[in-house]
Amino acid sequence: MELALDTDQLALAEVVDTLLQKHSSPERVRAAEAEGFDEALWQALVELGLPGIAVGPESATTLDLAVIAESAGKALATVPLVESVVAAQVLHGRHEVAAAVELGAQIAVFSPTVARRSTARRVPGAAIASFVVAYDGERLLLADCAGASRPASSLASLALADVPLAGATVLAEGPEAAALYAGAMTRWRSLTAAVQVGIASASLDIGVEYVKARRQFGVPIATFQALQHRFADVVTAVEGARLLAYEAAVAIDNDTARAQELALMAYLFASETAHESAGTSLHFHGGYGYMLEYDIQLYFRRAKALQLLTGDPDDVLDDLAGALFDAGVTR
Amino acid sequence: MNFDLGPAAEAFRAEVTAFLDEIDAAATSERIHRTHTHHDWDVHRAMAEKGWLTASWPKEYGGQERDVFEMAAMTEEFYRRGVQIEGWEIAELVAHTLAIVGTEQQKREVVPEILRGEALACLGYSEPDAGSDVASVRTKATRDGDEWVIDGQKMFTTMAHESKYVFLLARSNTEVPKHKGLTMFLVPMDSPGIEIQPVYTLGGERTNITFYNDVRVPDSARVGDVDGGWRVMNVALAFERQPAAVGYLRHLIEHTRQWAETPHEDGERPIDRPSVRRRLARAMIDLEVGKLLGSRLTDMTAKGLLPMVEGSMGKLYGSEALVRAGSSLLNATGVDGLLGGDDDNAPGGGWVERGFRHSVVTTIYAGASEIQRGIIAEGRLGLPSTRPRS
Repeated sequence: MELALDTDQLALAEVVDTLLQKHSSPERVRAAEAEGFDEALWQALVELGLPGIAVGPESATTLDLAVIAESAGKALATVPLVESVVAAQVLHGRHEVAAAVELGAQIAVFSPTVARRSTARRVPGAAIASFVVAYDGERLLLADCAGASRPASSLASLALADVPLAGATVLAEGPEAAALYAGAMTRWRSLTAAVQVGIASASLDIGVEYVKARRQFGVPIATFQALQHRFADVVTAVEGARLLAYEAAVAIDNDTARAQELALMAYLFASETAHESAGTSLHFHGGYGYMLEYDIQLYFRRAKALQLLTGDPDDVLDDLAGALFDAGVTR
Repeated sequence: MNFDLGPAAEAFRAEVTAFLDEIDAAATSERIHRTHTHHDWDVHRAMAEKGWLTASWPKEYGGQERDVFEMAAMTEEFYRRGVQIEGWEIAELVAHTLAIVGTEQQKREVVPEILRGEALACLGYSEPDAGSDVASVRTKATRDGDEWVIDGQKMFTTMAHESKYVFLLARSNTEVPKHKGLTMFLVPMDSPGIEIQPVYTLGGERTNITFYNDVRVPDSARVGDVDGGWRVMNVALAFERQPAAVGYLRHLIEHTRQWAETPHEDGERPIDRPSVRRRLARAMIDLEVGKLLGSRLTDMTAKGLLPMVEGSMGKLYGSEALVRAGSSLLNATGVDGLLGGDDDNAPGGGWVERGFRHSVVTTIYAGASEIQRGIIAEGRLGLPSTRPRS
């Protein structure tokens, strides 16, 4: 048993954190809100090796990717990090576009929901990507994003778009496609869980710092048990969510039978925790938490948006039940 | 990172499982539950014979020197199978403390007596007016020559009626701040002046109130320094680790699942109903998180670190999760959940209903949730202490 990250992973986290401090400051996050994409940040991450780092002989482990994803969540990085990493993994050795995708020259994103009626819907990153990788229940498809339609507004800056799949290239069909999609979903859930852990953790830090500084009734509001006890529950959940996200990543790396259920658990729990953490911190900001000027609302919206990307969390809980009690996930 | 306990622990787990099969764990668990005392001398002696009472102890105590991972596997299996060994858990805690701060005589005689499985010891901490604020105990210890005279009353002295000793926290000095006027004693339960009154609880376990009326013990019964009782308490509290709630949660989930996956008279399985599936899946997330927060304690202990805040987090999460699941999973059983645990038709062998009733004590004992949250807020988040100073 070893429940701590090793020195290489800690060094990796530090490199990514440093990069994001520069390229994903609150000012940069706000500047990228409308587009849902920060081109300069993307280029900086490409220089670091993303998304190609996730494929090939020297590829990063899922745990390494989780470490990167957590940092991205902390800084609210406005790039389709997880979706591009998972798309690169699916495309590797399966289509000629893979090389450009791995080098970051062209962006491909993975759709974490099953496409219905020939459209991949609400795909994060699709508004700024060149390609989407989507599963329609029978075929795994590579579609051009040229015909993508973007909503007039959205809850958070995820560059969502609907992408028509008519004329898309078939990457795989039947059982092979289903297996590829299931594996990709497991990786997407585990890494998105890590992003949510980052969001939860940063939200908590923002809230704790605020209550230490804010004074009411002549004392810092941090002295009130009513606040302290809720934060104690939040930090406990955040640390549990982090361990669970790492456990899921390690299960994927070791290809164990529990990988799918652990990734589902990690995504559900980290999303719930991110929402709780951001919501609690926002609430303890009082009226200021409701002002767009304060950063906590950015975390609050991002946490909820990531929680909804695969549908109602209760339906995701049904997916988990399927993985635990039946043959597997059915949607 | 690596989340497995490792091959030695898994090998030991297999031995423990074989033992639990041999003693028919399910029947033993049911029998122990019905005695209201979560201790069984037959199981206890069988464990002693296998050397498992000293599984983690050093060779000088005749121990097997098993590591924390092997011990975690053993604890997990006993809880999974519902074989309650609370008598041993409490006695071992006292033995651990005595081995560090006890007198030479206590180390030479009492510790081996406990480790051989011949004697149990119970905890005399809580009082009618001293629960979470345990340093405010009023049971009086008065020096009289070479002896001490003890007068007072202790609450929740679980296992007192099976124990040879009580590890008793008493007030030896009323002239100093409360933490500085305490002395710890190891008092033989057969001392004249001790009276035991049984107390029955919501979860079905018997505990006790114990009364101490002019109980005389020699100075050699003292543990640690005069007025040094709080230091002894801190040593003892470090051993009060809490894998318990997560173990109960696993037991509750497994029995609920067994019920849910068995077809009923109409041929339908409860697990096929969306509400039942969701409740179980939700509880299994909590189990995973509780297990991981507990594993972190094992990992830190193996590295020679002393988990403090992490211990509070594990205890808080596990017990709160158990309370949530206790209610939610009983809800899943519907009207059948109304049947008492001792009824043959009660779901999950009665353990769902029993689990619901028992769950609520876990957020109270060994540091209530509010105490744990205070420790976490201060220790992890650097928030100011809110405890009254006295």
